[in-house]
Amino acid sequence: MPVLLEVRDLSVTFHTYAGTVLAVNNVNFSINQGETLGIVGESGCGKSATAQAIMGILPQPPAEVINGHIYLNTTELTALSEKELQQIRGKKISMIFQDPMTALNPVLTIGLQIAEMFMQHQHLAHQDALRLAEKALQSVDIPAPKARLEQYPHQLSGGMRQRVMIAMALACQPQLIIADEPTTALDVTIQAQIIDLLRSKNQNSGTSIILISHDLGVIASLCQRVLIMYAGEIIESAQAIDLYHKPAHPYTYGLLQSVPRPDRKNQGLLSIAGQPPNLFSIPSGCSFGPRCPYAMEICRQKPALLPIGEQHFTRCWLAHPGSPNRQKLLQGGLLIK
Amino acid sequence: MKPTPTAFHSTPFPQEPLSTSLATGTSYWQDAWRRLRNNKLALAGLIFILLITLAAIAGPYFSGYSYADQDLPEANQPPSSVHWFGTDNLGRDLLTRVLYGARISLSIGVAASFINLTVGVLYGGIAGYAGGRIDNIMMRIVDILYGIPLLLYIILLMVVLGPGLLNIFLALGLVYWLGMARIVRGQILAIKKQEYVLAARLTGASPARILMRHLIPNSIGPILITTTLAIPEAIFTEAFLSFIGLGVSAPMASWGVLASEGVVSLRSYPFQLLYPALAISITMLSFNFLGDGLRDSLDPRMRK
Amino acid sequence: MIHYLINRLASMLLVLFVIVTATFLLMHAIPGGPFTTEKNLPEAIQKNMEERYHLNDPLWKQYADYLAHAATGDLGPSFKYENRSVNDLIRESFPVSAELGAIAIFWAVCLGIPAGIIAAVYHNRWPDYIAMFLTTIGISVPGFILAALLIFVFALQLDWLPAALWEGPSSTVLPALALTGLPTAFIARLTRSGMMEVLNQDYIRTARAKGLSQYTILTRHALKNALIPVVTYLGPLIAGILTGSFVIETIFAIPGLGRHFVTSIYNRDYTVILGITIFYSALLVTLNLLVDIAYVLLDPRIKLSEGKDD
Repeated sequence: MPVLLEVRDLSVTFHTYAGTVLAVNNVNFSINQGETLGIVGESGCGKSATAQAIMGILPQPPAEVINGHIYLNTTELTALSEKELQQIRGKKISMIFQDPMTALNPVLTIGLQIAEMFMQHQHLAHQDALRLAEKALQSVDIPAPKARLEQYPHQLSGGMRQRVMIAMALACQPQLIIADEPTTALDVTIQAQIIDLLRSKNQNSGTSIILISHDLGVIASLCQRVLIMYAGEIIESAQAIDLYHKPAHPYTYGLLQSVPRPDRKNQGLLSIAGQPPNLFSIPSGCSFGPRCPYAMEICRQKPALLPIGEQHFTRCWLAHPGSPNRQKLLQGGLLIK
Repeated sequence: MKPTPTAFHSTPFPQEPLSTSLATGTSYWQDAWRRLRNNKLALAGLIFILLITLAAIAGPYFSGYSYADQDLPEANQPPSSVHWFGTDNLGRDLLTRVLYGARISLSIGVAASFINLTVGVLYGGIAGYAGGRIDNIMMRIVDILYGIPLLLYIILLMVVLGPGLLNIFLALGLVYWLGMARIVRGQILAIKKQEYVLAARLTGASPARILMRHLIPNSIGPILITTTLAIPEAIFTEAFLSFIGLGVSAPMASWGVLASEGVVSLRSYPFQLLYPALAISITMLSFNFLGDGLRDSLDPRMRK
Repeated sequence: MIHYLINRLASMLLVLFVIVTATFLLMHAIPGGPFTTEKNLPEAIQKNMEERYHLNDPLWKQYADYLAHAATGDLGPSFKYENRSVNDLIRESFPVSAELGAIAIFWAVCLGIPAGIIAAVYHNRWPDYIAMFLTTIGISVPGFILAALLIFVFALQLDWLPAALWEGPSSTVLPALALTGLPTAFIARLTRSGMMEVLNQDYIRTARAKGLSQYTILTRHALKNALIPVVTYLGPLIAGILTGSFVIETIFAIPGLGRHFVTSIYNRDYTVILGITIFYSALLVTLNLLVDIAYVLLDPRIKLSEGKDD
């Protein structure tokens, strides 16, 4: 499968009055055509900043892309002008945002907000565009699509608004959709519907999807490959199955352990000790070190991404050939201390 | 790179105490003060206000003239080293008169603020806190009173009351608290829903106590901004009233009176209008810059 | 919609009623009557006047009479101008004021809104700084001072434009400029802050992610939202132009309603003061209603049947 999007050495800083924050630190990854990739991490780990950097919609200032190259097929996105990027956004790459209530314009009709995709990218007339908008609403299973065209966002439920966002994103049949926490603001039952919708689009149209979330369950139900981000870096990258069954980074392991499970009733709630890192002064060694139960002396130096299996990499010294725990890691699972 | 023999020994990182590992936060007021300090125009406004207040209080003592001293042979003199602002058509020293005018304008500003802060805040606070029918009725009254421009009211009141500084205070007092009442009520309605208010009620605090201890102190931001911005409006009102003959009357020297006298001799002695006009404009500008700066620095959304 | 309109009309009438009553009482609270001015009228004539104008009737009767007349649109005779009624005065002078006011509003909107948009889009760069500086001056320099300055520069020194009276289009320039200073500044600021707030919203980020051009984003997505606070201000704006007209018309000797109002204050001509106040109030209340309706049309989230709450 050919590579669709490639991100190389991306680094993004934010200038705030209290200092400069390195929000994205040398991130490298790629996604193939038709693939579904998940990016997992806590708030502030840099996943949204990465997504917005790909789209080129980071507000600069206060953000600044200090390094990096992003390639869509053979086009280098980072070298394009704003006008050229406008041809890509919505047409080749689309983005879905977290809160559909604030992400849709409250004073414009649903119909117009979808139709303008066609008007902008396919240069259709208003009436023709509206007709296509109706079809778009149908394709995301919204009932009574014709009536919806005249309605406003506040008249729809949360789940329906998100479907409208998806319809907007898919309108011009992009090659890639970036979904930034699309289900976080929705009820659990609606979450499942939205994920199903995304999955069917991926399977039927071959649209690649980057799904960003902090919810491991949602990621598991859609993604073939997963990246874990922490403090602006990718700290683990694996096929979904390998990640969930054989996590190779203490942070990932902590994340998985902290999901409450009904079959382990008497365990109490497990959480990862310590605080998220202070992004104003990132420690020099492994960024997870201060919270890691497996920390070793060598962890005072920053680890690189080390291979630990088939398409499985981890930024952890435990995976180093010299580490005595490497075997345990390879076999799957770390010891509980 | 060959790792050292002890490289893979388990050595947990030292646990940092919480306070140093978190980003240093700044309190709301420190942050606001820092932002205000950076706003050059607001600072300039503040400094000017302080200066003119000083000048208004102390200045007339030093000038050697009183606002009413006439010196007819010296009438209509352009600015000179003896009369820094020149003289008016009756030989009175303009600088002194402008400074007296400053006293009047600033005291009107103070009076307006006082009314805003007492009547306005309490009315809006009670309406906002009480909610329901009381709020409805109280705001109904405000809405009705708001339906007419305040200036019209004040003009009518001044026609009835006659000219004079005290009457201006009275007229302002009857009418100027409306805007503040609305803003405070809106603020209280928003804060009321927050949890610490609920907590206070649960501990049995009386409504008056909740109002004075929690709700109003947390509305200080909008109250401060509204007060600062209401002052130039009051100064303008006085100048306007005096200009059309309804405010303070001669020989008292308010800026409005000076301006109306200056307009008459605009052709021949433009400086007689220039100085009062400058005084009014720069004072209003200063309060507006300061008010703007306060609004920008107290706006929590602009905290980064 | 009908329900809402009826509600508003009822409020309007209530407001007007309060105004008429308050103004009436105020007028009659003034010590002495309208005829106790410098003119030394012989007593017989004074008595005659009082009879003619029913000034000896008990207060409540005068009030009832006045209400009755006002309800039918008759605002009574002027005390000072023997043969003219208040209605006549208004009919003659209001069109002049209306024309002046309309020009001022036109400029305020045509200059203020684009200025605000530019200031917002170039936030914290020099167009923004210039706009903020100019608007603060516009807000702080009172209209009558601006008028005096304009006359001084353009009429007296340069002799480009007439300093007074209302004859022909060139007469309208200076007064309109003086009158429009404050409203333009206010509208520019409101547009700027409204636009800045809008540009920070999530839906603008969505619009960018959709690949729309900057122009489309500004005009289709941002503008409508940003203008909502501006429309809210239209009510006070018109009131401000109204009160501003008092002084501007006086300074420029323009035969408008504002100048009549000021003169009637000098003359203590009570029926005229009362009448013009009522006229202005009715005008403002009606315009406020229109503004509220426009507001609802702009923002589809507002439901008419809801009461006003914050």
